[in-house]
Amino acid sequence: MTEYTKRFLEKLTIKDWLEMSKKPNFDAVGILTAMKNLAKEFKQLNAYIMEYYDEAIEKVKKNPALFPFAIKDNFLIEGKKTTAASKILLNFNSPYSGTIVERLEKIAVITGKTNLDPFAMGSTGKHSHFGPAYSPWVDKNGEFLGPGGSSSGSAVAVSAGFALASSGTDTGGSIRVPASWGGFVGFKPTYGALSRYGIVDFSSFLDHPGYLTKTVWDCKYLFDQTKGIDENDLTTFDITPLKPKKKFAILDFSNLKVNGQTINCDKNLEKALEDTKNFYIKSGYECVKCEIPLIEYAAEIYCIIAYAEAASNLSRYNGIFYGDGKSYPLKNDDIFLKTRTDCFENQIKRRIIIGNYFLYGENYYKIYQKAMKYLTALNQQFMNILNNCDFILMPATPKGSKSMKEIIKYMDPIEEILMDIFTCPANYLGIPAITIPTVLDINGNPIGIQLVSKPMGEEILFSAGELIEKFFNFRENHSCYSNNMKNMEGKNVK
Amino acid sequence: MSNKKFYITCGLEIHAQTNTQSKLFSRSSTKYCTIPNENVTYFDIAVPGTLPNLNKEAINKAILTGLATNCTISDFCIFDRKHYFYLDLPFGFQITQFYHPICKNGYLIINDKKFRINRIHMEIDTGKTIHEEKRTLLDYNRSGIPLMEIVTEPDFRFEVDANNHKIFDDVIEFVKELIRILKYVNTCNCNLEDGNLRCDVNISVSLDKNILSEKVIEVKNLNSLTSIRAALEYETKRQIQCLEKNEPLFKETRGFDDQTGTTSRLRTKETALDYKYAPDGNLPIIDIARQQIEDLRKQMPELPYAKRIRYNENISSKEAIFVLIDTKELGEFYDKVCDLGVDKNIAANLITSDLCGLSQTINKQAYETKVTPNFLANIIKMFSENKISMKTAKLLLEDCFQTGEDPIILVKKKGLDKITDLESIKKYYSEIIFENAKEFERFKAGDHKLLQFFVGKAVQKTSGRIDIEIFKKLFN
Repeated sequence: MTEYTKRFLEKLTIKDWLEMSKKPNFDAVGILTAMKNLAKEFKQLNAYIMEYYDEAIEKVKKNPALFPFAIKDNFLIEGKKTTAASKILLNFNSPYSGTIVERLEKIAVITGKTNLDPFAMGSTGKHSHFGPAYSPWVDKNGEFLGPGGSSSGSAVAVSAGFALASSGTDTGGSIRVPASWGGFVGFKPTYGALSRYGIVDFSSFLDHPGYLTKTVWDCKYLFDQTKGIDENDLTTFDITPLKPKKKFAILDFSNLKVNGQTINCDKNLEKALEDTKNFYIKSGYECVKCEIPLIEYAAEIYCIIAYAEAASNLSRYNGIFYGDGKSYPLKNDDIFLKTRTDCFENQIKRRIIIGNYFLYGENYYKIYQKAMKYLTALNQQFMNILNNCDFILMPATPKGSKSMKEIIKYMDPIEEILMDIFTCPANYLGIPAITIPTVLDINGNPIGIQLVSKPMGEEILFSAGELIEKFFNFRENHSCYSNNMKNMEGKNVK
Repeated sequence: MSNKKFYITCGLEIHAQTNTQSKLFSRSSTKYCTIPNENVTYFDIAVPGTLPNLNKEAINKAILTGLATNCTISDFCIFDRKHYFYLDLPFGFQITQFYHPICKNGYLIINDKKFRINRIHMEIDTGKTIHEEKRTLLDYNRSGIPLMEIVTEPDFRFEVDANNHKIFDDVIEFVKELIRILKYVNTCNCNLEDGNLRCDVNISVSLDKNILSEKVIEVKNLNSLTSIRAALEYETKRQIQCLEKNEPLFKETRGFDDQTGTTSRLRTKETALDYKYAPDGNLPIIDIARQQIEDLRKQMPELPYAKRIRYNENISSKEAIFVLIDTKELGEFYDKVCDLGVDKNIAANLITSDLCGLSQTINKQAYETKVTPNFLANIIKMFSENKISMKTAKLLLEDCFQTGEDPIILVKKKGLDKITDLESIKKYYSEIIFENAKEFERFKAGDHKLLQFFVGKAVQKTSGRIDIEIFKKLFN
């Protein structure tokens, strides 16, 4: 496949597809087939667990307006397997389709189910039963970067151009972190704006479905087509968009210490934040600085709630209905112990044990309830700022990615949790947030910024986001394929 | 055997299935079904990604039950998860209300004693496990059916000596009254054979009246009044024996075997599971408006306790009151009859002694027969106006029951009027003493007991129509 075609597919958006499909001679099948071939060429990126390109091509023949879309493999599609990248669901056939999938199938064709951290638990993608996914971006040594997680496969599908956009779930940053590391748009709405019905449960309180797209326009389009009350999910509601105030806050985290250390951000990111601030001011926005001291505890609050809920929601995988199908004796709880020991990945076991600890006996009051109190206080700090402005400007991730090889070899579990420090508050506060790609970091790897708004502030994020997206124009200025080629001079092109 | 006294303290946990059409969190039917796994939907077996719906009717019925048992109703409804692993628990947790039960601090008055209810909360029922020799069968029809768990304070206190164990009437009465109330407010069908109501008892024995023993033993899943009583009696005997022999008692959970009438250990409480109760994140907190509670309160019928007080004023027979209270519809039928202005005592008597028996022969309820309140009132009025005798009244009742005809018409048709005119009675008098000359001689000689004999003959001759008092006077 030529360099030109790869870049074409990398940059093609939903908006492009919809416009082209209105014109005669639109070769939808041709483009989709090229995507299939691109995915095949870069199979070692391990983006997909299952591919449905052939099926998609048949559907597109009949209706070329349907655009290619990839789905994270924790969304259930009727009649298809859903593994959640864990051994325990290897053979699980979904008996129904979730609400978002049903709404999407009216406007898109599904290219496949993408790789993830098992049960969406992780920030790197390395814990998957099917092996990690790799970003198409390479570092200076030609090694593929870590795509970020848990929506790792969805991130690769979008950054490499295997699909025009993909769905993901964001529980602590699982869409926004990969978006920052992959140079594209990652979006999480207000809690309840998109239905969770048909998404494998991780943390009922923190799970948010969301989208990984190449542009803000695509993101808004997908959101508008799939939002709204679902009678199957009692936590959903209809959004009434807010009127913008043309005022924003920029987060000052210079005094923030987590685990005794100040947060060191990439130098290019710091400059990008400064440039963003100045751009908005020039565009007529009023700017205030703000501090949110309780972000110091953001990751801990997240862990306590997320792990406790994970332990609860994963109790159903006990070998009776869900398991690897091996036959275990029923007495003495053997079936529970053996199935879960055998089939759960270490990442999952770790989280369940810790989560159970938080709910055990007095800890419910000493730890879990205490975390809820900190949550309320942190919410207060955020809302004090958001009540007076449209959004808060802050980093998505403090740094860019590194090579997946390094990440697999060793990533400090604490460091992995701290990656989410700027993204996880939006989850337990249930507020909308978006990552916009900006520049390359000091290592030449993509890095994005984050806008966070108040409940029902999606429209604010889309309009402010589009402005800054145009300003940085990452999509035009950078390509994973040229980056690929550039860093691999002299090496075999894979 | 010593003459030591033992003090028993008892508390109840009653699980009543709420009689809604569908389950608490899914739309599956709650109808009793013998085909296994027929009433099961994805949520009931914890398919990933499924989320709970909320059956508002179940909440309203729980509130009604609370109102009917004098509880305070919570301002909001919130559900928690109780975590443990078992074959019949698909989620690995049961959705229940641990931290905030929907109803609190109620009571029932039984035999002039107050027995307090600590809480009533909502939770879901589990599936059924059937253990066979080589396999275990799982049926999830029952999984998800809404339950109301009614927990009493340990107010059932009894004093027992080593020889007499048979007490516990208050416990049985409490359960019976609760069943009555649940049927009155129509929140539970209380068919014990279908498993609509199951009872756990907590019982402990102490040697000191004022000290409650810590060794509280729980006996689970008693599904009839007889097994409740039998389990309590067995446990009392067993615990007293242990105390007498100085054998240790353990805080534990036991099961009751109907066949052998004995209890045996299921698991110890000392190493009890931690259920890791935590709020359910998929169910929003529901506000319960005070207006909603008042609207439900207005819908409530008069309850057994109030009815009992009202009936005590006008009905002399305790047995009749018991029967009229036991079924709400029967009491309502009785009230309708009384509203037509008849003697309340007689109405009670005719319904409970006669109409109930008749209706049983065709397998119907007394309020479901051809005898309408109007018809019954007519019979009673005719008796009160001395137009017919009581015997005739009862015969008329039976006739009306068979034919469905107005008793007033029946009386005319069959000429069942009471015979009250002196001339006719004197005629019968003459006939009878002529036909029974020997007995009349003995009567005249002083055997006054024979008066009843002559009355009997008169009743026979006139099919009960004769005015007995006037007839008797002729013998003076």
